[in-house]
Amino acid sequence: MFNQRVIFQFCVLAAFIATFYYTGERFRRGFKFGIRPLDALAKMEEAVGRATEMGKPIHWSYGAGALDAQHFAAFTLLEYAARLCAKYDTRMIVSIQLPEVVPMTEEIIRKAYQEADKMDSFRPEDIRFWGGSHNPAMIGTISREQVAANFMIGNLFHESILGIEAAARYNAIQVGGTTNTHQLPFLAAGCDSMFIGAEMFAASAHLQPNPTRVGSVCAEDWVTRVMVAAMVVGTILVTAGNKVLADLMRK
Amino acid sequence: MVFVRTRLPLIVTFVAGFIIIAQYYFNIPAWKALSADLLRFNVVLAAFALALGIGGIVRLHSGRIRRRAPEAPYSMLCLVTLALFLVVGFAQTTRGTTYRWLWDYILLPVQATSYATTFFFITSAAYRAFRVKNSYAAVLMASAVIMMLRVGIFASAMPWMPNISAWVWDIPNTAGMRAVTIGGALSLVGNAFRVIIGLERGHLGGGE
Amino acid sequence: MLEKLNNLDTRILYLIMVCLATFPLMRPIGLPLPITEQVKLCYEAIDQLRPGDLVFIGVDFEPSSAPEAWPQLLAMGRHAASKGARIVMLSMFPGGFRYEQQFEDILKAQYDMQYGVTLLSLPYSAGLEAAYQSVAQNLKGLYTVDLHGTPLNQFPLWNEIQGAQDFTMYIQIADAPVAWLRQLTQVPGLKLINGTLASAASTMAPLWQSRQLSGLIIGMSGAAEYEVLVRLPGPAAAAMDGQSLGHAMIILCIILGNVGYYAAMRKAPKTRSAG
Repeated sequence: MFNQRVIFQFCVLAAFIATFYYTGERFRRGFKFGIRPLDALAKMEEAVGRATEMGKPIHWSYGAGALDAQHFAAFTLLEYAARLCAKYDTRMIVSIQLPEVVPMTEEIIRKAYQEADKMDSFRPEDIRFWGGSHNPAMIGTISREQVAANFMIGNLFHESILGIEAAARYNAIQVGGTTNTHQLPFLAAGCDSMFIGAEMFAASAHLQPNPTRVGSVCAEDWVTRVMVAAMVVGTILVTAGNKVLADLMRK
Repeated sequence: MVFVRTRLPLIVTFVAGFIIIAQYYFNIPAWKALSADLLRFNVVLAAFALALGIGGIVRLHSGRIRRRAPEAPYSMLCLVTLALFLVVGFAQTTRGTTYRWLWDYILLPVQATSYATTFFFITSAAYRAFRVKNSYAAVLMASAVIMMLRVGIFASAMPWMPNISAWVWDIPNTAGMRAVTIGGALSLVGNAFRVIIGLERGHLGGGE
Repeated sequence: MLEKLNNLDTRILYLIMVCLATFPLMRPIGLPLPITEQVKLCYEAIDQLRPGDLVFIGVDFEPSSAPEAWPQLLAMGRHAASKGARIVMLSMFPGGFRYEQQFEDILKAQYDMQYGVTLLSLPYSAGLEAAYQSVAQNLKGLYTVDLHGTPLNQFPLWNEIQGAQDFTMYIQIADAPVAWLRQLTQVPGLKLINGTLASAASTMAPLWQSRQLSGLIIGMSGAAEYEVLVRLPGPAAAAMDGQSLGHAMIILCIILGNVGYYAAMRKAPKTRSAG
């Protein structure tokens, strides 16, 4: 009944889930886990503040990639940015490529304005679905509105450099974030701050620490350490001609 | 209404996620058949999401036309083009000659031109953004230059350069990318697990 | 004087770039093109195909990526056809269907492939990773008609196929198709080859190094190298001169920007720090 070809993967998943619940329970009982502060979160707040002072909008883009877990991490950060914008009455323009993301984005931003009691400032027309013309539309939006801040967080592809350069002309504060490794160099070169890979997901634990999120971040951290240890041991074994661990991990 | 907006999506997410994941680890024919059906449902849903997108585009651009915004002429052009593609597509399907003409001589050049703007943005990025302000930036620029020197005229003038480029690509680059990929993958697992069991509700408007 | 380089009008740089990129298209220079190791290995993997082997070709790119992806498809696809492989094309991107149609016409005209017997084109399937998973686990359930709307059960090739496990190779032309790799590695014995965009090279590097991929072609330069290996120079080889000059210009821009930046910093009045 059990698929023997994926036994190692199942063990890793089981260990992950067990660690997740264990650390979540420890957090619930008051144990303090140290979560490294993320510079990019502070930069987001600074960016919204600057946009408020200048009276210019901020721009948000998820990127042109398909819907995946990066979007779910981006939703948490969008909620954070939307709350800040609602609080300071700053306009937020969102450029969207994927149609299925539109209702979720609307809901998140609407709720942020509702909770800040600023529904009259909420502008649904600023949540813009562009589809295939996302890239030129994004550049056009940034240029026309002369945004003071540009957030590109999600499944980014080559549009990241387009958005970065377009916003740089107006000296916008830029924060990027993606797990797509091919875009990280562009974000590093062009953004004021960035979420590198896993930091996007850890940001939610930093913003709203609860047993779920903290447990998840800790489980990821611990499994990563075990993986690194396995890599070191495996490298030594393979160098010595022993492939037991390598063959085990292939399953 | 609360049930439809919050509880029902969580239930559907959990059931679908559990079936898809369980069939990967357990060889139960009934689950595999159910999983295959769910994947087909997902393909159909994605197609309907395109229709949702069309609604969004019509709403955005018709709003601009109604408000007589400065971009209204372009919004009109957008809606006319959308209608043209829809009408021709339904009349002829994608195999029709008119549809193919529209695709080959309007859409293809426009999309290729849009991508080609990267050419100019990379040029200005190379001049403006790729400045060596600290040691990390120095390493980034050095590796970028080494990778660019492995083609054409540079490879013939410096025959050893492709070997150095290959080493940079194979060793430091792959090590860094592998580390980020593993970290990102584990975070994806964590995030997906939280979404499936309903503990992460950011996509439903936040909340616990 | 040098600090003026810090504030150059970028339009001058754009003009120079356009000239350098387009001049070689009109007057080819014929710069040499070294063949990289991974392109050679990719060539050897496809060269090992035997007549009758079933090969998927994933046409998963949009018109925006076509300048890099189309030459890759031409080079690798024609190589597979020349080895007598039976080809099934499919696309998970809405814009890929037109390239499927164009390549189908090329295969029928140049390699005498018989549609339905040695060649098949499958339609666009939405859902991306879900669609790849369906291809890996339930290929026959995912498709009922071909790209032209004809029921698939009318084709002898389709009736012969049981599932993805019958295939020898999957040549995927796409930008960093990690989702594709995740799903198709589940199919035992299926060799995976990717033609990807230059910007995605670093993402695919670990997957290539771990040999989860049997071949990797990167960008237009990879396509040009492959065209040289199969002795069918095409659009990629023609554009390589322009790419070389473009790279030279990018390096010059980096140098100019940094020289201007440091010259301006040296000239700027030094400020005392408080405390």
